[in-house]
Amino acid sequence: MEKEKIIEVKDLIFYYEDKKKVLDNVSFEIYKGEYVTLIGHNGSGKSTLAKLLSYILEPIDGKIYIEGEELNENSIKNIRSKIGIVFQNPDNQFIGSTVEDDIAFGLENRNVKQQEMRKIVKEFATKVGMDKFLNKEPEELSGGQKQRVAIAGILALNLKIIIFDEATSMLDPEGVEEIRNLILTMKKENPELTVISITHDIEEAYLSDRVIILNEGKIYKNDVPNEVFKDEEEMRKIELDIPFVLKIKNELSKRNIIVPSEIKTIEGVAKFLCQ
Amino acid sequence: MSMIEFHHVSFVYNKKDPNRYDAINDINFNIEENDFVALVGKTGSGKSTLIQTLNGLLLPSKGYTKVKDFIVTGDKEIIKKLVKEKKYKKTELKNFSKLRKEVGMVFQFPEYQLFSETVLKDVMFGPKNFGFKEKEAEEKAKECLKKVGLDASYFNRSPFELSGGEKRRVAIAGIIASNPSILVLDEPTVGLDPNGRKEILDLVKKIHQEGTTIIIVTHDMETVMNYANKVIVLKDSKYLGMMKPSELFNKDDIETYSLEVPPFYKFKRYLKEYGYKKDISEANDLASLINILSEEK
Amino acid sequence: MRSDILGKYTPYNSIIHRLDPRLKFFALILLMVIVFLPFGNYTNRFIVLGILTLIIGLIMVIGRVSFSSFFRSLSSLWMMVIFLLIFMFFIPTKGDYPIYSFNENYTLYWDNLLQVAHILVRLILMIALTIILTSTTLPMDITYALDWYLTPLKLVKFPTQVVSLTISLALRFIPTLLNEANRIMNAQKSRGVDYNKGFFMAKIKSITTLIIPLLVSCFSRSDELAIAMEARGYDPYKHRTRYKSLKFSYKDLIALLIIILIASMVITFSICSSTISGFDDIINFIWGIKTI
Repeated sequence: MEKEKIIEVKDLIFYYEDKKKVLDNVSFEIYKGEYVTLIGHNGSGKSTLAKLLSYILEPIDGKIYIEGEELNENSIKNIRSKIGIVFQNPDNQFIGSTVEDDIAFGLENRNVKQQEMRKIVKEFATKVGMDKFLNKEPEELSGGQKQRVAIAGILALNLKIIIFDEATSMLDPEGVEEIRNLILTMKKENPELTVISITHDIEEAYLSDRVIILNEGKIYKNDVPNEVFKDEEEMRKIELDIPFVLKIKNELSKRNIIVPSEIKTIEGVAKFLCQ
Repeated sequence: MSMIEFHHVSFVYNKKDPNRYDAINDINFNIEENDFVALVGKTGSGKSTLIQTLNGLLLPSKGYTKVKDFIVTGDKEIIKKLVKEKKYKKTELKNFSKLRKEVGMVFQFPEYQLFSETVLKDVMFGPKNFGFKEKEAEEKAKECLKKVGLDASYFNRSPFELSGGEKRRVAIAGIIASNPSILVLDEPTVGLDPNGRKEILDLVKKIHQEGTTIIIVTHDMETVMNYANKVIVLKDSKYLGMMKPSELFNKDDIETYSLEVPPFYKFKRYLKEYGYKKDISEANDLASLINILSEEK
Repeated sequence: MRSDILGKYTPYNSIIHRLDPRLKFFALILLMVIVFLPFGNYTNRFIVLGILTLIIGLIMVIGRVSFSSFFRSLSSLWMMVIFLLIFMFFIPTKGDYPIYSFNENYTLYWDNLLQVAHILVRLILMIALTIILTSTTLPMDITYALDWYLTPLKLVKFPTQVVSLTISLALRFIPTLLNEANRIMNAQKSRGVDYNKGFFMAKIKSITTLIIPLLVSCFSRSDELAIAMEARGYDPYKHRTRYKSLKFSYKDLIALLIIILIASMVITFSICSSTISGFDDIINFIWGIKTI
């Protein structure tokens, strides 16, 4: 089957006032229905890339195409209707005064009829497991719950692409787990949905379809997780760790115990060893 | 005598309200000099409330917190008793400025406490409040900025133009510049990437090695495992115990503590669960566990 | 931790809670105006205000407004009372009923004391009315009501939606910023700042240690908020539908009638009060006791 390109980034160059290149000729493609994670240590350029993708910044040179349409001032309004973004700080993206108002915010902007809106809000609140909290104010919610509301607000708009911009970095472990699982169920329910997650959670990266690693403004790797994280030493050199499952697998393979590559969880490895 | 003692410490928010909320309930334990203690527990378990009794930001509704010779309490019975026994004067029990010099406290997102025109001035602010002379404060501030890895080129810069991680280090320098004997940190690494986290934690470790008692509130069990020598667990406002980190993660009933277990210990648990035959309870790091695993096969 | 804010919405389900916020808003304004109407002599004034106090008290009971938080809010009025008394003491206006005469150009009058009491009762009733509205109505609903009243301004191209959204965002962020302020204050206290101590200059200095970081955080928050709103397709100049709309039911109609009835009675009384002479003025009465 021919894969359909949904995002194309071409020869992207970006620098701030000091002219030091933050992004240096970055090019990659993302296909429809993929779940891609973008990782890299601080200063690798990944947060700048996130800002360029969401058009908070404009590239100095190079182009970004969304479904074949170039991202620029004229197209941004149209493109906004295709892309949803979940930001890092759960508080600063909670716009409504209650959960339901916040989920409805995007729908209001699209002039959805009130009757319909009520149904949609209910449906997506249920999807993210927040249907019991419709009347709650943000102060009564945990960080993870607020992020789930943000996700519901985006899912409700029926967008094609969702970008997670370090959406879990301010959450407690419980919240991180909640969001990680929610992304996976979301993908399962709607395989057409394209997810890009800019993250420093390597465990999340390991669960995605493809990992793009940025290092010093350049693409360092762009491959499936098992390949990308293969070499622990190499990863250390660019100040990244590898997922714990792979550490176990690597150690075991040194002792000639080969765990099949389909096994991606700690539980799976333990089960395999006990057989 | 222990460095810090909690005696039946309880704290209630909105005492007379329908929203009454018992944040901590009858907490008893001691922390020794030069300990590196991690305080863990789910969000809302009372960690932040407990540490705020250490320098008198919150006064226990019942019981008291003792730090060195200082007593922190809002319990009228105890105050009455202490004054009657002539151990403390009433004014001593209400003035926390000396205590706050002893207990340095770094809050979440400490970058939001900077306000001076220059980095150096900001770091000098605390020491000057605590009675250091101008010269002394400046010396100390410079020393501490170097300790957190910011050289002389930073001294006269505005703190607001620094990066997030740098701001956080300035904030920490501002606390340690007062020379506290106890350093309390409330989730100092939230929002940082793994390298930024490591930098801050290594810094804390260095401060600890110089003789400061450390209490760190955290959700990150890797931090607990790699840095702390003791861990204290709170759950639903109550104290569950103090132990070595490895002891905690090896507990059979760790689920009941509502904590996120580090992957290594998760792996061990799964092995046990699926009936792994050999004894792995002694293995406390990956290498030794792999050794046991590979012996058999 | 939810901070305890004066007159904060309490999630009960009383009849007052369920009334249309537009009606409540209207009633608030109407009753406030009534409280400030003139009623001729002091007897009339205090009789009317007494009746209004009873009515407002009844509404507070029905709406389950916390009396304790109401009385706590009144404690700040002490400053006002002292100020008024000092004012009265130093700049006494002429009255008819002297309390004490120091010399021929300096006399204290009963009139002034009653005047202070009158102002005070009016203020207390105003506070009570405001607290009833805020503690029985969600901030968002108040915004909706306000937006509805601003609707006519749309004809002159006034961006009413922008105004109401701005207000609702401000309300939404109050608790968040209070928490933030609390955290910053704790951090500064730990660095040796004492917010209670010191005189003028020292106070100003300690306040800057709170205000500057709070502003910095506010700016970065508002920046992120604006980006998040834009990312979700917000355009201030485009029409938006509403998730919630207000419904005016028969309950509201009855409440409206009651309010209008009360108001018209009081207004009639106010208009006629100058001609009503059936009551002997309270001030005469006090004066009478004193002269005996």
